[in-house]
Amino acid sequence: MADAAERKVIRMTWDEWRASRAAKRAALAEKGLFAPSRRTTARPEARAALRALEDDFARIHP
Amino acid sequence: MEDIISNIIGEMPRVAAKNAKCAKKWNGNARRICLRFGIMSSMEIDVKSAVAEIASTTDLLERALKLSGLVTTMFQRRGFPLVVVGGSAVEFYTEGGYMSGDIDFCRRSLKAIPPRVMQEVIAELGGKGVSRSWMVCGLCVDLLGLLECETALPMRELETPYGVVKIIPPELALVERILIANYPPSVELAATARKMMVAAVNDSRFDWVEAERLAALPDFGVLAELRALREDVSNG
Repeated sequence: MADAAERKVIRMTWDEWRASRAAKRAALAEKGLFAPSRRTTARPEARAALRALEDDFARIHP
Repeated sequence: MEDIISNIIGEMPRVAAKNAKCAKKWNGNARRICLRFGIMSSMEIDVKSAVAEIASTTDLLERALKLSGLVTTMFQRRGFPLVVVGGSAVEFYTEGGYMSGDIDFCRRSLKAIPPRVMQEVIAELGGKGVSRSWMVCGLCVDLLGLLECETALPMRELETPYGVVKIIPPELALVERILIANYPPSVELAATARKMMVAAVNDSRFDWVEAERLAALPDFGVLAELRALREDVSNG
């Protein structure tokens, strides 16, 4: 751990990251774990909550 | 270094007002520094075009990371470095195998971000919402407080088309997921911890010594759970 702070930063370029995606998904799929859940922001209740926030904001700051 | 560069960039408009010729040279130097260190100034980004391109990105993980890059760049320009944390980091490491509900950012500097600055940035992005939670490009963006990081490992970095995104180390993300999956026990969160473990065992640069050190800390206290899950995933 003493050398942790001295470790080189691990940086990926966009292209490297995109190229690595298939392998990582395959590793998950191999374990039966690749079934991406939908973002909660796509759920109606999340959108409704955001609308309520906006309505509150509009009421306070007409 | 990034803070210094950000300050340099922040000074550029003032210099420009004083001496256009000098500013041109200054701008060129700052641009070269940005390119050298992979930092993108939001002055170099057409924000409206970037937002339109991000919003039209159909792959939700790509969209989230591009947006993370743009948000990071815009706050960085104002002197506030950000880092992606929580479920958003897990989403990155598991390639979308786990999808977070939002993009969680923490700031890396002690200096608090003034609410006015937050709202200005979000307005520039065409976002909606209040109080550190906004909807931008169809995604929820949450700006939490100061980063709490129990490891000295460097952040992982991803060069997106709109700036470099810093992400909490996977060692910390894994230990956090194991903790919340077990205390209190949660089947749903256990599945996420398992996905994060799969990502870890397939990452040749994952630091297992550091992960075990973190898991053994009283802050987490999940060393036995970490070892059991690692063995389970490795053998399963």
